[in-house]
Amino acid sequence: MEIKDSGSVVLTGYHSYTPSSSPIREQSFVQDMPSSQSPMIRKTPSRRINRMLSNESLHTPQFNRSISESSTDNSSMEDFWCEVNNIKESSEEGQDDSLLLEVKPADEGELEAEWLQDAGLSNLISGTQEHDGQALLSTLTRTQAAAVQKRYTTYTQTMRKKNKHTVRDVRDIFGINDSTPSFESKALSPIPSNGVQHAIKKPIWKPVTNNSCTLEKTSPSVAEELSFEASFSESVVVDGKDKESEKNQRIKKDDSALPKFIVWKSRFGLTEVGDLSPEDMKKIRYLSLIELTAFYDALGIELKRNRIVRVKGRENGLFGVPLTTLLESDKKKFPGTKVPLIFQKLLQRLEETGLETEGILRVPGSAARVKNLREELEAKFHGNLFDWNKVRSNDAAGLLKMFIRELPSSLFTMEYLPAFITLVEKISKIKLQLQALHLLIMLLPDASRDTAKALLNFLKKVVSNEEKNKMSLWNVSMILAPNLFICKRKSANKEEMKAAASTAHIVRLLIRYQDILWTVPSFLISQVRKMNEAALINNKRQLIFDKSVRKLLRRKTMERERPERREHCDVPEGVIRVYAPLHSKVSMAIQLNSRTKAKDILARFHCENSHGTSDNARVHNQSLYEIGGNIGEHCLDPDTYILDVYHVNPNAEWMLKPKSS
Amino acid sequence: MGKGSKVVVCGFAAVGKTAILEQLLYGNYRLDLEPIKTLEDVYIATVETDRGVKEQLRLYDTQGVREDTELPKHYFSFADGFILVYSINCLESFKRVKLLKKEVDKFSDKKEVVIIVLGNKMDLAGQRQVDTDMAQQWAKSERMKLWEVSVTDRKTLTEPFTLLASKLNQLQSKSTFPLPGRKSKGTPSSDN
Repeated sequence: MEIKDSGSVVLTGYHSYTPSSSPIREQSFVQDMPSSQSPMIRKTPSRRINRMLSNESLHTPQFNRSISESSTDNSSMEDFWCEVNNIKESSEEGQDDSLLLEVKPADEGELEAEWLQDAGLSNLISGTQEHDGQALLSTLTRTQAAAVQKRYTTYTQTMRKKNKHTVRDVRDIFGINDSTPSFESKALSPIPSNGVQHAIKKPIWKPVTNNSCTLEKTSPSVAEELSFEASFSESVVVDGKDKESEKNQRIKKDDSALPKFIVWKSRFGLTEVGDLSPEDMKKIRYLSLIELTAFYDALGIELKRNRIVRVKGRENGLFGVPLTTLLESDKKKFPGTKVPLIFQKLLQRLEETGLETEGILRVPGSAARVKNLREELEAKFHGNLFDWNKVRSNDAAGLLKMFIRELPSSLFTMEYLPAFITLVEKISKIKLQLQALHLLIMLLPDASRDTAKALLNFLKKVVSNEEKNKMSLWNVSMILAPNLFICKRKSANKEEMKAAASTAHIVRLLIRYQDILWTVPSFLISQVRKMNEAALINNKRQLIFDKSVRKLLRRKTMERERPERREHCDVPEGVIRVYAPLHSKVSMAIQLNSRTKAKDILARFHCENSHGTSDNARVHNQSLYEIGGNIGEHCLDPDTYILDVYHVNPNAEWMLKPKSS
Repeated sequence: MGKGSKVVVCGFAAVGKTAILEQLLYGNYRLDLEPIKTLEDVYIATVETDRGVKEQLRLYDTQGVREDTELPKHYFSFADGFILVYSINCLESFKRVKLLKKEVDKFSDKKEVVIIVLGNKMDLAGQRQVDTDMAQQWAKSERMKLWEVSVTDRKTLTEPFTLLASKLNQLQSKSTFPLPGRKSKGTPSSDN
């Protein structure tokens, strides 16, 4: 559906599959799917997705045929369908319908309302002057703002029709003209920043070969450079013309077709997902949704989101329990746990025994044994009574896949499932796929993201043992895809079946590029910084109105901070004070120069303590953090140039502390 | 005062302030390295006093002063004690210690400050420029303790710091203790 015809028409488009282009892509992925069927499928409303079809329903013969009649090309998908079969068989007994997620079609305007809410802009709906939302709006790039504007316009139009309540006019938010002057200035540069980062950007980048995270050497193609500095959606507009040319390209099953990407480390270093504070990650999530929407808009694709009525999983136990519930109870035992212990244990067992097993993950374990093991695990795991030594690798793999399948909400969230799939179907350029995937990963809830990373890390190890276990990247991807992406709907939806190759391709991208995908794009970080700054200014403004509060605060800060302040007032430009509460040298003033990296600062503390006898292990696992100022907390890459961070965030405090978990 | 008394270590540049602290805290010293320019480092040290109690000191390792620079004034406002350091092979650094003592008397906000003086680089006695007797005499006249020490010999350092910690914590409990350095308000003192 074209974005141009927004207004009310677009609403239906958000929850139905686009009819116009589907025949083409269907054929390109699944050759043997009779095209006569597609009209019927297309008319299937998404409500059908969750409708449970009985086992003798029409899908069974269909995918049987897809194996038997498969064309040469499709034969490589055989593993996928086998796996689907296995899943079906194993889920026939003890199927728990209550765990199914309900995917509902949404009312007009509701999707937009939900979108605005998820993007952290609920203040536009409620009409309250929530400062975070204001701060967020002020940091958007032009493309991002346009995306928000579009959703808001649709929202207001439907709300007016429904006469629900008075809503703010879009012009109140974005100014009188459609393109507001405030965004105009930013539009000139693709970098969504207003300063420092821009100024010091390109010239100083050095082509570091050792530092950059190189993916795999097997790829024959020359590594392509990925930049996280510029907004994805802004840069798409620039080279968006060539996207149509290879539109109908088939997904290549050959793994070597995946290009090698190198992320250049900017002077700010790379920031991994766990390096930011939870509050800032929440903002990253808002911005990612806006950015992803803008990105899809720029590519002319519609970002479909499933509406999800959350169905609660089991309250206790191991399988079928929400990740967050598992983590909550695990944290009581081991604070800081990020991946559920049962999942860690399964992966650990597989790593110990299964990496060299031929056909690991593909060859199913004994269904009966897996069932017994599962029951025993549920009973004994928490008491630490379970004997892992008796678990064979194939059974462990079965348990692992079962765990993933039975999660009440899919690891990669039902909400964005269609977005994942359209992504691969409509965009053929791997770089663009990767960028969108990147934003989708940023959108995931922390528990899912951390757990997914643990899984992908294991899968990478499986693939690297391909010579022994005969599992190539594509094999592994095909096996995992139905577990991760479609089993929830119990194969009822034929659209999903057709997406087989697409989902496998996504899994492949996830395994291959996990290190890139789990890095927070730096343009999002600088937007978060601006957001925090804007929020600070807003807060200050509010304080001015409240004089008594202001007076009180002033007196308090004077009392409390006076001695401290005087201690600090002589700190000259370019000098930071690094605190290290765990060291006997608790603070150090350091003169920064353009070559000072985070690791140099760490080294200065370490060399002081290297001869000391006490708690070395604790001291040596520390990282440098920037805390406060315009960021909550940011663990710095050892290769970060501190002077650059200092310029972007002059009010930060600097601290050495161990990385959580 | 009391727990975490703040002690400022100051003196001429490159007399070995950081080296003294590192020897004391970590038991290591580096003679051959060229001096590290400290800006301001803070160490937390636990020192056993002569009464057998462990007390915590917050040691501020300052940037060495030079001919044209002064110790930043804010140090005088919060310090409970000072360690003035010179090196025995540099007369200039001793003169500077004398000057610093005067500054402490003049600017210190606290009524009671403990000051000790360390003449570092005893291991370079062959290049001595500061006469021991002369230095001790001056210290006595100012009612301060002075030690000649060497970072190569950790034992020389323990006594001064023990005494410093003891005094800092005595001051808190017994205000009758004669005050070294500060205008002692008429009470004749003999803290040696």
